[in-house]
Amino acid sequence: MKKNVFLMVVLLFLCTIGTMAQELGANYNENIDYPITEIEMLKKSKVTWVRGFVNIPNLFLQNENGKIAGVKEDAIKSHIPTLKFVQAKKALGDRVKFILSLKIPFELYTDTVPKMGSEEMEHIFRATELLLHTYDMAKNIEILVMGNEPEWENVLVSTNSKADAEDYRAFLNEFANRLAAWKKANGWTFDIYAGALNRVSELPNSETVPAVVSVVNTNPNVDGLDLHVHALYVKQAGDDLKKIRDDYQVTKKLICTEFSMVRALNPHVADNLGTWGSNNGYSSTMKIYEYLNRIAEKASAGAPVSSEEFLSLFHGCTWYPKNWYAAFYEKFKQYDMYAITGRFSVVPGGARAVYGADTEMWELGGIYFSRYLGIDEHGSYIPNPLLYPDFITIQDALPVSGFIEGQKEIFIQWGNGVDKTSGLVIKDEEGNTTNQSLDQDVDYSLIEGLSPGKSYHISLVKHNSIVWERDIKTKTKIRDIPMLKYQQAGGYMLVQVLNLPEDAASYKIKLDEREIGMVNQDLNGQVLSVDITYDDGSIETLSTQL
Amino acid sequence: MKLIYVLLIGLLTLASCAEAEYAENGIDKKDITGYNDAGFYSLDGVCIFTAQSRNQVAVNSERLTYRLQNQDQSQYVHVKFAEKPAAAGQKVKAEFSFQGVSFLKEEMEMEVFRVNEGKVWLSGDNAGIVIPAFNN
Repeated sequence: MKKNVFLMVVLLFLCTIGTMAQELGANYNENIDYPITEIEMLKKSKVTWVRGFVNIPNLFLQNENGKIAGVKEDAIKSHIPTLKFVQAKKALGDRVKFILSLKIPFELYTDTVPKMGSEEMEHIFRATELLLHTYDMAKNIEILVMGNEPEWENVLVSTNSKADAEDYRAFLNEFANRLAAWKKANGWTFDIYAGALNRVSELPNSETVPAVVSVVNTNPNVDGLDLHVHALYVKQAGDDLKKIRDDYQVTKKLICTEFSMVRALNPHVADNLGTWGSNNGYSSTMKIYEYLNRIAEKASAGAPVSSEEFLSLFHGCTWYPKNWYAAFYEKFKQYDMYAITGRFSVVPGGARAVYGADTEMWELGGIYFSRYLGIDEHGSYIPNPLLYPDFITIQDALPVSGFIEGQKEIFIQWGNGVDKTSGLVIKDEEGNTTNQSLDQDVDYSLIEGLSPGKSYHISLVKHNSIVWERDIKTKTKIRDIPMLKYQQAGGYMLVQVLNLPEDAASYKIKLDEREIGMVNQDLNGQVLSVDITYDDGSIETLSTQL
Repeated sequence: MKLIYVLLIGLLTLASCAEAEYAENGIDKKDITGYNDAGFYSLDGVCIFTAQSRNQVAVNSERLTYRLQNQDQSQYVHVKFAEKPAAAGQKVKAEFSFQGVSFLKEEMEMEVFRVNEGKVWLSGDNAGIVIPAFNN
């Protein structure tokens, strides 16, 4: 009862806050080959972001005597997880954006961060450029993050000496400038972020944090900052974000690709189950980690424990920070986070990992449990009852469920949190605005008549108050050769005609010769086609078999 | 227009690789008439790019253009003819633009080798084309 009241308060808060709604995503860390195995779960969860990282030195650089000696080009070109990451992106379509973080732990090297102009630095850039070309990775990501927790990963393991912050600042600036040059040369459109900075409010003496922030604030090729919030106390989420927005004056976009309260959970991994244990059929002296191993075995044997049992254990522990996920999200909204990707389902160490007294309880921070509570009738993991209710409450309250940008149109699927008496205001780069009301009969809006490769500020406004807003860039036209694209867009099938030349006067989309619109309930037919009429009166028929 | 549409449906349903069909017919690999699937071929015998399922086909009979592309245009071949290829023995100039295909040239003179059942077979240099007849 108390939980329901709390959730209702959260829901009402989210509905009345009247600011941009931050979208939720799924973080897979180094397991970038996992999303393709969980496509249906990802679709069902309605997340609009997927994130993973690659460890550049471990996977793609040659290390000789503590120095970067070369690039493992063949390893990059044949990196199957990269292929699977891209396959997942294609399977999920344009509604789900992908984030790739480049983990470059300079702690592995004697001299940590290489000097500007050094061969070592060039090896890093070469490996990155090659990775971006591999399986068209660059064309399938929305955001590329330079680095992962450099405050920790730039510290030399052997001597605990810190990497020179100035060297790291120089490296990041050069990296961003190289990425910008490659983007221009190849027509790539991903945004460039720096980070990820972890626990910034706890590191007042860090030299790395201000170095990274200065790159974000001063380099025009950097679009934003990635933060990780692995908090010991619930309020630390707000402290970190306040530090970045208020103290460091970061005004560019913020994303959070990892967040947890694992630090609050870990000290208790070897606590006894106590009275709860004896009341629920376990020994009172059984440890929490032993319980987790036991229920994993039960689930594997086809007899999982109930979500209620699992929940009652942790909610009965005074140290467990109930509803921390919702509390974090409140702060993410307050400080205008652009994308938030929490751990989705992956088991650190793999599905066979066994907990011990020193195991870190990362798994309890996932939306889904891959091994504790079994699977449902659809083959999906049973969600984590500690987080899933907050997650779903937030998702259900979002005014926008997702959007797909085309070259001349933007499709927006409204969420349950939308007020359809609101109106859309579309502002182009020149400041011209147009208004569009929401269709009361459908749960989407289609904004048409836009120009390719342009940024539009889209606002959902009610009574002069902005309830949602976002900058959306239409896709760039790559060539003047028309192409048909059809994809799942939430509950609809979206058909787009891309790369229309300037002399294309009009077009008609057809399904088995019957004219249809861009947005359809389904595409049950054999042949999808479009008749494009050009200024000279000629008609090009472009078609594909479904 | 309907005729083109019917032809496109027919062509799109053909899924067999020209290489296999070619081998069964036992025809000289350098003879474009040994192939039936609409598409672009290098005449050293390698099946390059045909109108298989899920590829996209574009025809503009007025502009005399034909194009084959995959779903993301990482591979496409677009050809524009200077005149309508209509009769065996006819020589026509063809301009190509392409992506992910290496055997074509930007301009080629091609000879029509066969016109039959709404399709046209052309060949020039090391390339051969089988396309639907333009309906104009």
